[in-house]
Amino acid sequence: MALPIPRALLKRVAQLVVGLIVALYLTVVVANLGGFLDELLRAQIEQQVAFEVASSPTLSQASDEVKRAYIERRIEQLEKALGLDKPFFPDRSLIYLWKLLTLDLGRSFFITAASGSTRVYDIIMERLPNTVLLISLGTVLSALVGIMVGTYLSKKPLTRQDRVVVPFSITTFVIPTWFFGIIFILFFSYYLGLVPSGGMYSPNPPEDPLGRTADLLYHLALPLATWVFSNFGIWAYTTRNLLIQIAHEDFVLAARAKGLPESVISRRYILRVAMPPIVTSLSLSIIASIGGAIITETVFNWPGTGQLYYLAIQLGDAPVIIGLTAIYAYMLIMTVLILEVLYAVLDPRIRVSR
Amino acid sequence: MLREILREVFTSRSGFAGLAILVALGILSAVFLAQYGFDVGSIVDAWNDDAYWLDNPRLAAPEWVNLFGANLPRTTVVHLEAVRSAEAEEVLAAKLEGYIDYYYDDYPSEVQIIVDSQSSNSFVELQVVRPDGKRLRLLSLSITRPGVDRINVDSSEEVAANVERALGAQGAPSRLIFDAGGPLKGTYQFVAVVNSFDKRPVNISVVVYGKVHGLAGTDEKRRDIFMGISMGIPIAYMFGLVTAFAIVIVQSLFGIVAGWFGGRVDAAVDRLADIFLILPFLPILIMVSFLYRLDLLSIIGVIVALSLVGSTTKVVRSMTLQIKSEAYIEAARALGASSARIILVHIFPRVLPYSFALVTTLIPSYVYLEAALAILGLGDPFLPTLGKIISEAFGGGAAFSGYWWWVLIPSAFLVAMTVGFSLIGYAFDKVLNPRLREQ
Repeated sequence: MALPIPRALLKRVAQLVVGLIVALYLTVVVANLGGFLDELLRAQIEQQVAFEVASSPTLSQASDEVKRAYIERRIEQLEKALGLDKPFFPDRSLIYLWKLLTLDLGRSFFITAASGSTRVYDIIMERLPNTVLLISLGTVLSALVGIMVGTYLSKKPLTRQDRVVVPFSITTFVIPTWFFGIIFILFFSYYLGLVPSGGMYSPNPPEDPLGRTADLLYHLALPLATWVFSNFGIWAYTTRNLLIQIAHEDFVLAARAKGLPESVISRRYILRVAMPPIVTSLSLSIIASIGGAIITETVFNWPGTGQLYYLAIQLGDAPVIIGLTAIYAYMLIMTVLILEVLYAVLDPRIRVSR
Repeated sequence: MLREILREVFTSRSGFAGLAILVALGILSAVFLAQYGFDVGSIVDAWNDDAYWLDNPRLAAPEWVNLFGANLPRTTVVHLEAVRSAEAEEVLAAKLEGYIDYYYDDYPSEVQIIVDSQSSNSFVELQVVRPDGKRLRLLSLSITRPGVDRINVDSSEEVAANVERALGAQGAPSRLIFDAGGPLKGTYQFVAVVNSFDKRPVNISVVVYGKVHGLAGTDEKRRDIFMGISMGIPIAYMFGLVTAFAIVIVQSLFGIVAGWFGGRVDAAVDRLADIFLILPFLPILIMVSFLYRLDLLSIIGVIVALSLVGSTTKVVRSMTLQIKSEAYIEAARALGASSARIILVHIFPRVLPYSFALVTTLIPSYVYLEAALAILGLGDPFLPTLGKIISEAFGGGAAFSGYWWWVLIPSAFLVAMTVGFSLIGYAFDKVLNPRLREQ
């Protein structure tokens, strides 16, 4: 049976697209406050013309005057073609916006992709899977652990465990993951020597797929454990509160009166009802964790897009930074979209409202 | 009403504990800064001036590790003093001596000889007599110009050759001088013979750098980390408070306007909130700080601009809807009060206490945000902030090399601050949302 797409979801998608456009437009405007985008584009045009002159047999032998005239004419031509002669508002800003929307992110100054490409798009796309791996695994694992702990706690509110977990989850929620990362590296990598301090593979990773995966997992262990440690608390806390509330509802009482086993009640009657609000109330923290992953990756030297930010800042590679900002806007929108779909799947009321 | 709420918050157990932590941190920082007469400008200058810290050991642990059974050396500076001098027609000869008591279980981290010369033509010979009676020639120097020169014995080939020959052992001189199959304890006598041919004096000091320093140790640039921390605490308070207050006030105003005017304005604010929710906050902040190299104050400005509407807006909007229908608002309206006046005078003070609760929980997250920017190399270029100290520690490899004090001590202060604000936030929550009291 094909699931009909609910209207609420469609409306939300439209909202998200508007949000994306605003975010990208803001990026364009902010980046060009000091004329950075224009400069970048001019530099690229000059590079291109210089290349044309050097590679053309007729031109390279022509006199300097002919060359100069050609270069000037060509630059003017290209600037016109790219709209650099038009005012920033509205023409040029819209051209830039269109470039970001079509993922035409230009070329980098210094950083190259492993394939040798200097296209910002290639550089970012090469690293994106690593980021997605860390974020999605981290989020799913902390959700699982958190919901399990929260369910356990909801059965014994106001006990000693409860008193420990509540302050723990609030504190770990405020303290960012990367902060724990630095401290965990000191303990688990330096003092205990259990795990490597960073990176994704050993300098000379094994060739066979099995060994390579093991090497990856070995390097993934600490960042992932840190992620779960710093994020499961708030899941547990939210779950606990919602479950305690729902456990007092009449329909749960009715189920219990029917004599259903406790495990069925907790799974089908309480947890099932609690899932949509859990996802909603935590979507903000999931969104925040995507931004936070920038620093977490930097701390763990994880070769993802977040660490690319660090590299680009150190090298002063402006095109990469602007491109990354656009990609993060896309990533956020995709995440929100996934959460919305998940919400629609979890909450039957949304599925049927058409 | 606000005063009552504040009183209730700070007399509750968690509110009091939180306030106590914050005040304690503030006092600690104030006591330390009082040594420098609270001259913030010169403290910041000193912090950024490498020359200011030359007499401190590099990467030294805090001194209190010696309370836990360790006996690590402290830094000792000895100025050699003239014990004898003789003047001839062409030369002023002087013998300078100084003593260092060394009773530690570890070797010094470094030994430097400081030659402070007013003479432009003199010859110096430096020796050390160890507690075991061995006399080691360290170096001979020809001085050709006045000025201060610091000589690290470990980077002087002459010292290394002399010491290695005399002791028949290999290694760094700063270690060998103090070594006799383990750190050699006792009194070391440093002797310098100065022949000054223009009869102007040459002063010599010896610095034996220890492995412990101050309350929080030192960093790679020999800076006293505790000084950075005690400057960082008030900066963190200020940064966190200003940012959080500005954001909550702006967000509340949006909420009040949405609730008060309703209709299209309400819908517009709602759309705006949707957009701000999915704005890539940190990426944009990073991009702006990268392109425009911001100082702390401008960073606050950008953060506020990126958080115009948010969670506070929604809470305040629904509160405003309630307040709007109350009699005293109607009375104000009947008296002809303008919307702006009603919002600012009648509604804003009512929602303020609730905003306080949100502020206190927000403050630490902005301190961490500043730290995050510092890790990327985008923090304030001059001010020592807690985040910058931690990020420098991380960048300096403290986590990989076991310089625990450099990471853990500033982190502990940051966590203490977080806990303090969280406790107050929790107390606010309890007072303002009585439903929580039952649980």
